[in-house]
Amino acid sequence: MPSDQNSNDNIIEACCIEHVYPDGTRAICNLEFYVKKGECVAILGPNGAGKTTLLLHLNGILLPTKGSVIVKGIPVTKRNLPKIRKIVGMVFQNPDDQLFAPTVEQDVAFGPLCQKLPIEEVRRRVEWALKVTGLEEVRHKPPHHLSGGQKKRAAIAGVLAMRPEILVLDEPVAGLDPESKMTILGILKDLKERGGLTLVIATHDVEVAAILADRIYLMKNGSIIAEGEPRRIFSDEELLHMASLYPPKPIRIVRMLRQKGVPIPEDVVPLTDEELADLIANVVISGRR
Amino acid sequence: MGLFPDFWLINEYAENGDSPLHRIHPIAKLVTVLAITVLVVITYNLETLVALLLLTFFLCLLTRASPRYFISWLSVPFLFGFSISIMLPFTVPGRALLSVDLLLFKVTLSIEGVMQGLIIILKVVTAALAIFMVVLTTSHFELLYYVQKAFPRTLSVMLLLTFRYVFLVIDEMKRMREAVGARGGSLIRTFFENIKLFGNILGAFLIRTMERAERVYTAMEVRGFDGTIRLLSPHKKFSATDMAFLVSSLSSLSLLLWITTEVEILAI
Repeated sequence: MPSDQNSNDNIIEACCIEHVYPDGTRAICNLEFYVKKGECVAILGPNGAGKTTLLLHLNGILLPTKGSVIVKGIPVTKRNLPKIRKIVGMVFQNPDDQLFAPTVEQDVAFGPLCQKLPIEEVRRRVEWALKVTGLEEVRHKPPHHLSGGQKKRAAIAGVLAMRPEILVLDEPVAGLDPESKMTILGILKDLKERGGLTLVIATHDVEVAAILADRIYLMKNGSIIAEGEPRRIFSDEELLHMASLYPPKPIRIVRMLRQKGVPIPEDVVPLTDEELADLIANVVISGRR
Repeated sequence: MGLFPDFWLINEYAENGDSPLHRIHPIAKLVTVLAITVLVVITYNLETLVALLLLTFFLCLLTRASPRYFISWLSVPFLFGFSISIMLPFTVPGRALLSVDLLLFKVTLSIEGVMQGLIIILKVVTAALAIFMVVLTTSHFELLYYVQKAFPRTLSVMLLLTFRYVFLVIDEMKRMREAVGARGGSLIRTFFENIKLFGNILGAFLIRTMERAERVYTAMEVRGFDGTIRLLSPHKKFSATDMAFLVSSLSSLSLLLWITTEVEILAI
């Protein structure tokens, strides 16, 4: 059970939620989930674990069959949906489902125009969102002329222009080439660190969680099987095996180095390539001495 | 080069092409096309229609797209016009151009019927050319922006979504055709052998489309969609060049109408 669940700085609180689809499939059951303001939470799990179903509850696309979801003190109910959707922005897995306007600029403007903001404010937000996502050059292009990475960035820009406090992303880097993946991760990191945005990311990519997340929820078969800081979750091999996942590459390399007799303490858990490079450099330098 | 207009090619040319017509304001081009269409609809004078066809073809040449494209794409409107007018030479009474005695009855082709058929084909082909001219040289967003303003709300939403998703549908169809081709099938060659399979493919395609429609609607709804797609107005301003283009194209059309009418009066 999450230890900080009743803390006052929680921006999202989901209590005992359960969702049963019309065909009788129990997608999530008895879930306890919370997110603190300004943190990045990754929901990790294999395909079919219920990650997307959980995300869809956060801005009321789905309402729980049992239990409740509270965002910034407001219960997620049909009546509160307009308020909730101003706070929680959702980026879907497939950008082609989200980009429907004839040009990138028009798609980014869609949300603010629906909020009926003054036209000058809409243009300001569009400029800002295009700048943050690096899409100024392609603003007049139709979405079908964009690459996969650009489409994903356009989808994020469309939600950012609505200035949500919480950004919920479903598989933000699925199907992208390494460069586009790093660009998206850079944008999200910036939004969190400089913009103070709260991020909730559903992914089965452990590298994404290792780079971005402050906290991880591990899901399997519609239930949360673990919650905690990335280093703790990723160093528990048995737990990851239960969720059909592997630890991030730096941790796997450290394990192999230990097996080959390199003296690396058990409590050292590098999450990123930079942390691994620092660790290896330290080992090499101390070996020379 | 296909006989059917290639949407991807047209869209690419409209968005990234560079011709004198690309620089003209969409309203100036739309008014010109509207004027051509109105003239095409109201006139039954063969000379006027031929002159309109030549003028429209000249405007199409200004797009700097290969005339081969227009000519091949015109085959569909031509066949449409031809299918409407095929019976006219046999049914419209008038002077006989050709008469064939069959055993039980006599078949006569009338000059008036042939002329009426030709007029219908000219009307269809000229209107299609005028549309090719505008869709090849105008950013499709700008075109949709002005066209949808004339439509009721539901139709304008449908128009905007159709433009966006027609490309995805074409891609999806292409991928399915390739998947059939990769396993030795062909939508045409093995159509009758695999008719059940193609039925299943079409069914799957429809289900996929419906699922996508639901996902698109959900994505729109969470951004506050209330039944109206609001758009930012395009940046392009109506300049003196646009006005000059509009005035000169409308003057040319008036002059053309006047000359051909005069010729007809003189002939009478």
